Amino acid sequence: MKPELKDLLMKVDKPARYCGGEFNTPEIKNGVPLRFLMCFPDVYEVAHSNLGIKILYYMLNRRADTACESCYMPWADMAGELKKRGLPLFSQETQTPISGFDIVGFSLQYEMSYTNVLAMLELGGIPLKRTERDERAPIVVAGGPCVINPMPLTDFIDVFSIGDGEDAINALADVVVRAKKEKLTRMRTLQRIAGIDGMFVPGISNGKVRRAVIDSLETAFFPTKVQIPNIEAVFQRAVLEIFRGCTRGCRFCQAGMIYRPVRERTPETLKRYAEELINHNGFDEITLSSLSTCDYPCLRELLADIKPLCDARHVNISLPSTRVDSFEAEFVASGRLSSMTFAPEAGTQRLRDVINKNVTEEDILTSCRYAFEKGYHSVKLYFMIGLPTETDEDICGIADVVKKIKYCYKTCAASRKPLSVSVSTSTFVPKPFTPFQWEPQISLDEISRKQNLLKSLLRPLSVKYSYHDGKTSRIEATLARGDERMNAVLEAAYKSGCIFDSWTEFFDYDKWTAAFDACGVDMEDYCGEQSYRSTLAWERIETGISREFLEREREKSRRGELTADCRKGCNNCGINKEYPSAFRKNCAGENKC
Amino acid sequence: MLICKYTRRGNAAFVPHLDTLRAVTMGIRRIGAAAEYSEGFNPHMKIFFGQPLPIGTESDCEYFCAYVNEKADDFVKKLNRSLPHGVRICAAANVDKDPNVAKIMCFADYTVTMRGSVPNIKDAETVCGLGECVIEYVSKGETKRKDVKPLVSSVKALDDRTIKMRLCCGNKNLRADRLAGYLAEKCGINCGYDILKTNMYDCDGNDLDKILFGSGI
Repeated sequence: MKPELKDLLMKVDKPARYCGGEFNTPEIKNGVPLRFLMCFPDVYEVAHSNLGIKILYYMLNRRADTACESCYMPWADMAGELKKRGLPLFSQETQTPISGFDIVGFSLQYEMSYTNVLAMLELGGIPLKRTERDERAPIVVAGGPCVINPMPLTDFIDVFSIGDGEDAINALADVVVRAKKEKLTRMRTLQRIAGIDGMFVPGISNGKVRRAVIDSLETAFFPTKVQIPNIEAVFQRAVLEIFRGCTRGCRFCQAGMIYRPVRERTPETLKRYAEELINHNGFDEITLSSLSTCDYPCLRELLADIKPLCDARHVNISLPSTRVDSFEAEFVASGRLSSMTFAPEAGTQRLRDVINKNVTEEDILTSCRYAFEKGYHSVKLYFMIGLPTETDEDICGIADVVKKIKYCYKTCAASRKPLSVSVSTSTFVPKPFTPFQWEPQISLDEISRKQNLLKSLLRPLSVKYSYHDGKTSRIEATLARGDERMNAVLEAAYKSGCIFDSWTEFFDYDKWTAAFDACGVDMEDYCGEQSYRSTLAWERIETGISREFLEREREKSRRGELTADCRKGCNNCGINKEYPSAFRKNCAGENKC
Repeated sequence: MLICKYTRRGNAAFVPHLDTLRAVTMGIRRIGAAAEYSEGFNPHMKIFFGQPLPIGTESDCEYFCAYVNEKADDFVKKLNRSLPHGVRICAAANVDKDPNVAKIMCFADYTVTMRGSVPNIKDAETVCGLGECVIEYVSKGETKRKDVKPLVSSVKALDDRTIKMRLCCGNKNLRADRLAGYLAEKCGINCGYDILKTNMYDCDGNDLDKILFGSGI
């Protein structure tokens, strides 16, 4: 290790974030045509919990012509030391300044990481504005769920990779390798990139840009050997993606819409991957990841297959996003008594019908009874406040659910320990390409009024209550539904010192409101109701979900009408027409299980 | 049961103690070695580490004891292919009982290597020869002052770049980086330096390797 680096690391907190040398780091090839840097705009421990960047990182490093490295947002102390020493932000693997790469890619998982993108570019000496980048500057690419609305970042990002990255990023690498060989100018290179399926190149792309969708996960690359972080990641476990997409159609859920259609891996493939994940990584937990794991038709078969493997190596199986109506499967998976987590999202059946969360109180209580009889004594509940049509009655409904769960525990608990219930609420943020994309967000005052109301209702029930800061949700809404005017706001906020906005210790609402004022932009334009009549900023992107479907769903929500799971019959969202080949043959059980 | 001696060099010197432990545990799980687990709600691999090493200090003599039913030689060969850069098992022996390294260790040798020539390096010996060595350090946000003279066994300048020191470790512990920082300040040493822990001893001055592995390494 270079002495300067060693001295630098001795000055900062958690230097293992920056020293590199992670187990399973692939060989970083020398002298290859393409140097790619995969960036994550949050700290090391968060970045190492993300599957998307791992897929692309290993996929790129398998190419003979590409060397891919990684870089994460340095914590404030490290950023300060870099600036003080005049050192540029560097890659994790070979400590190369980030401006030395051909492509610098960012994964945008949540809106509140946007200012960190600007901070990383600046720390790396890359001009913030894409128009100020010269021929030597890297091409700055962004991908991930957030770029489904790329408009707030069009000043800073050269290329947006919309949708699935597997094919798109490979095609991008091909194009840039060829462009370098032909010594094309930056402009010509970007023009060629704009021709790739799913690539939105601001200033060059014409008309609508279609989201990239891979036809099958069976044939898609999946990394079973992943870097083991030097310090524990937020989610320290092996991740097995069993399918992509979701058929449930919850009306607030962006992921449930923009990852359509569902594409499943077969149990045989998943078993092989699980084996490889265990052999190559050494985690004590493997998670069967998807948006709604219990909807996987061959789940029982898969669990039966991998359980013996996992037991032999002392690896726990975890099922995320378990639906309350399929809690039993989780128990089968782990056989361990831990806390159980439910996300009813809304307190009354009426509101749950509005959001199309097909879960009844009966489902919740049945699952609870089952769990309590097994000896569970801890329940976590997630709700959203500020959902469309919500009234105080719905808030009271949350407390009612808690009361019923407590009563249920009294009558059928196997454990003698007191029941621990914790309730957590987030504030509804309307997201692009959901049936609620036109809905207003409730005001700051309303947010705190509802939080206080719930607090007072839950206090006598001795329940732990935590809630998301409403101010963060407001800013999140402006960035999620932002148009091109948000570029200036984002830059002004960053320049006034906003970074790590998803971290409460850093988030500064006043700086954000000042940035809006300075740019003459009204927050209400994004937080308020959007009109059916106008074209929405993000409709520059074609996701395959038709506007008619979203409008229809919104109307149904107003009438409290449900839409059934797509597995039970097509709801005509448009995906089957826009992506017929991906839609056609993707059930792992071929509809037999 | 296996007692293992390992190194923590380069990048690995920046990885905290508990994460190093985790890295070794993951390595053992990867190679599928027959490890014993604790019973109860949350089973953990039965593995015990010596005292933590300060961040940034390298070492050639760290120890752990693992409840693994494998032959020492095979285990070392397999595990060394499954450990992060800088962590390497350099000796192992099958034992019947955990020798409890953390309890028996008393002294450790360190080599401090300057990154440039220090003509007055002998001053370090002089400073340590005085009646007291009061070092100041920050611990848990508090600045503390402590006379560490009783914890210094010997300090010797070998040449214009190298200081060797033997310090107390274990129950009464003196961190080499703290003493080195104190000496650098007192002697006006401006260049950077690297610290390597080289050997450990019990209270009678016997090399731990001799105790644990015989004269085999």
